[in-house]
Amino acid sequence: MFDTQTLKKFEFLLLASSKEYTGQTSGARRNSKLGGGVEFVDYRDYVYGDDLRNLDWNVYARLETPFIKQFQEEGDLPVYCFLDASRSMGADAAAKKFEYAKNLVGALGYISLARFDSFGVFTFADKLGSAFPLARGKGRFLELARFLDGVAPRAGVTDANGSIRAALAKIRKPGMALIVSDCYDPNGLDASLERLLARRFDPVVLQIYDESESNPQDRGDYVFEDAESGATRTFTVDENTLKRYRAAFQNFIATVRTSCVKRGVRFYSTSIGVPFETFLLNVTCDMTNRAVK
Amino acid sequence: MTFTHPLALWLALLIPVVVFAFFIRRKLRRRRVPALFLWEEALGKTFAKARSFKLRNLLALIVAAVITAALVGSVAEPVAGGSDADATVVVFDNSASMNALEKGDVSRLELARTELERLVYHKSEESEILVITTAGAPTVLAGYTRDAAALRKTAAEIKPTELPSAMPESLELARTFAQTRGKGARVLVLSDGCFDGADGFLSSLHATDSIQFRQIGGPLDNVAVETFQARRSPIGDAAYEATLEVVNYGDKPVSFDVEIGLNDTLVDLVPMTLEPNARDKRTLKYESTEGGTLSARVLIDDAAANRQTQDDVKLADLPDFPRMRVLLYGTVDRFLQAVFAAQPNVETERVSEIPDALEPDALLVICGDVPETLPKGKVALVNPTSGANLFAVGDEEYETAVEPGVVDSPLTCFLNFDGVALRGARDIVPFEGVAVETFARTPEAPAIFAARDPNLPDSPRWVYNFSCTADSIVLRTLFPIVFANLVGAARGIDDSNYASAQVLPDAEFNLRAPADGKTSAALGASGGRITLWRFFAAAAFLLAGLEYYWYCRRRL
Repeated sequence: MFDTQTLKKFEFLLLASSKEYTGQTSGARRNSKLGGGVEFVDYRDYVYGDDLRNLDWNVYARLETPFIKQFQEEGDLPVYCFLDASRSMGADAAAKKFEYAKNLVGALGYISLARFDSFGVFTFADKLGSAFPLARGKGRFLELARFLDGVAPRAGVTDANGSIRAALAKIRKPGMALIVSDCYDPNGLDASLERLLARRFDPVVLQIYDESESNPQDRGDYVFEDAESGATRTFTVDENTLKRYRAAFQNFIATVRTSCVKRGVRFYSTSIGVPFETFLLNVTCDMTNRAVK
Repeated sequence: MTFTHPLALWLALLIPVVVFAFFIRRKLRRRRVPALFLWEEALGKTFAKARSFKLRNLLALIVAAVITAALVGSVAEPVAGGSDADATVVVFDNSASMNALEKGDVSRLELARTELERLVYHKSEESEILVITTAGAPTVLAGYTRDAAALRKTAAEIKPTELPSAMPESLELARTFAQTRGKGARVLVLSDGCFDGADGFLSSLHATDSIQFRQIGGPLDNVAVETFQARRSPIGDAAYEATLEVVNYGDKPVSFDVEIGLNDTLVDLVPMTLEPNARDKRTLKYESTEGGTLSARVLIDDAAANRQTQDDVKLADLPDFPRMRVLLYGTVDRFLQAVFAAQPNVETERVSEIPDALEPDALLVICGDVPETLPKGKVALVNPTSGANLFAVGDEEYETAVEPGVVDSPLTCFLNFDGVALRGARDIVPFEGVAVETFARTPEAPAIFAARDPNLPDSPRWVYNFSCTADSIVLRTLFPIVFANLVGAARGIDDSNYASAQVLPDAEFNLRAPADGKTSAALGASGGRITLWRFFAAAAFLLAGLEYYWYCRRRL
């Protein structure tokens, strides 16, 4: 999927969440929970049953009062990736869109695994599809790559809400939720985002589209077939039609963006004309900046 | 309606091809799109309705077929009007005025040739055409023929001429030919209208439709030498006169020079300025013993003011000044010798013996003693001391002042002898039978007279009854004129001295069209037949543009 040089570059990147998660196992991310970390935070009175290894003997010698040192706990970040595997991602003109999305998921997965975070993938179309369970460690990347290699677009009208609801039923701990999709869900992503936020997930929407979708050039008489529903419409495409379509597309992007922003959900949109490494760098940098603020 | 190229109608087979191609083209392309709802949103409720979609396709198909048919029609070049089996007698004016250059430096002859070629090009296969040219005399270049190639060759072979137009005779001949073809025949005149009787011809056009006039070219500016004639001086000297008449037929004043040349040698440059339609007629006087071809050539810088160059030059024959032998006999003093030697084109010769007979161009001048018998020919006696067989000479007179009332004669022209004392005048008594004609006399004797020998009536004897020793200013002034008159009289004044010959015949070079171009009895470009291919082509392009407009505007 990626060569060694590319993977090394990915190791310098970080998926920064705007929320803190305790995680399931110890990791490289600090969280608000006090526990068995290495960074001293505070003292508290000793109570019976505390681990004596945490007793500060120097303080006890001076004050003859036992105090327990408290440390900030460091855990992993569960990262769930929802990959849109509907036909719209693999329509004729946009066959490269799904490849772009898989590469993006693979890169995000490697970044997470390299940072000792947990990374899992759910594919969805009209319903929840195959999944890659949460995994930790770079050693699992090969499995992830094989999994992604085996994923193909499926028929059916995209139902992100139902699919994510089904996925959440299988997830015990919340974390970062990366939705990689073209967002061509007739019902929109609003319900899905609401559901994720309600479960304390940190959703991030990564929209991918093709240049032929944003700026089509072909004129003439066409029978357009919807890639997902198979519905057809006959159009005579002229310059005026193209202008109106471009305006409709930009309006669609703006609608999705507005929907995300008003919920505090980060939204990134890209054309597959942009190298996915560039897009990845922009996304991770923006995530990091927001987390620092 | 007929077609110039009927074979091109086979191209109509393209119409089914176009229809077939249209249906192929109309097979809609299928395209899978990831988000059809975006297209639906963009186009709103303007989806294709099956009926209107089919109707539009049908309309587009009809338009495409009509476009193809129109293009095929334009290639076939349909022609409307006229008769298929008609005959046309073309009277082609190739006179000198047709050499005038119209705009673009194209001569009228070429324009007329183009008209004839167009007529041949657009004629139907059954039409017959006969071609008559008018220069000099009517000439039938091509008899009635349907062969377009032969007619084109005939048109190409028509040469420009410098002859006047024999239009009336040509029209008469054309009518004769047209009558042989009955009512279907017509006469077509291709001319600039510059010929004798043009106005009457054009006014008669409206009364009959059997003759149609196609005017070639329009009014042009022109400066022409209309008259140029030359003659020798009647008084027998070396002078000659040239009558020059130049006309400006243009619409604006023009200044130019007229170059007068004799045998390609420049004689004079005459500057002229002429107002529109003005003419300048003047008599020019020059002197030369040499004869030859005298030319008058218009030199004008503004070519636009002179579109006809054939009438810029006119030539005239100038007779040679005749050489005369003057034989001097007797006591001829040096002054008299000098006077004769100063005469132009005179050869003087001293003779010691009087010849028996004189040549016609010879003059014998005898001074002093006169022999008994004078030879046959022209003889002048100066201060005679004897009178031969003509008169008796007496003593010298005392009263020698010339009396007033000198008789006008070739010997005394340009002279005023009144009161002039002529020394040496003697008493003169004519013999019986000798006629004496006195031109000037003193109170006692005739001073200048002619004596006619009854035996030699064709041999003039001129007598100057005075001494030629010039000892006064008056006589020195008078004597050269006296003897110049003598030489002139000896030359004789005959009609040849007045003769002039024009090398170019008088042709009508007036480039003004008759009635200033108001001869709108002109035909259509193809002789009354209307070519329709332009309309077909225009319709095709119009429909194509309309279809493209619909294509760009329609939303289904």
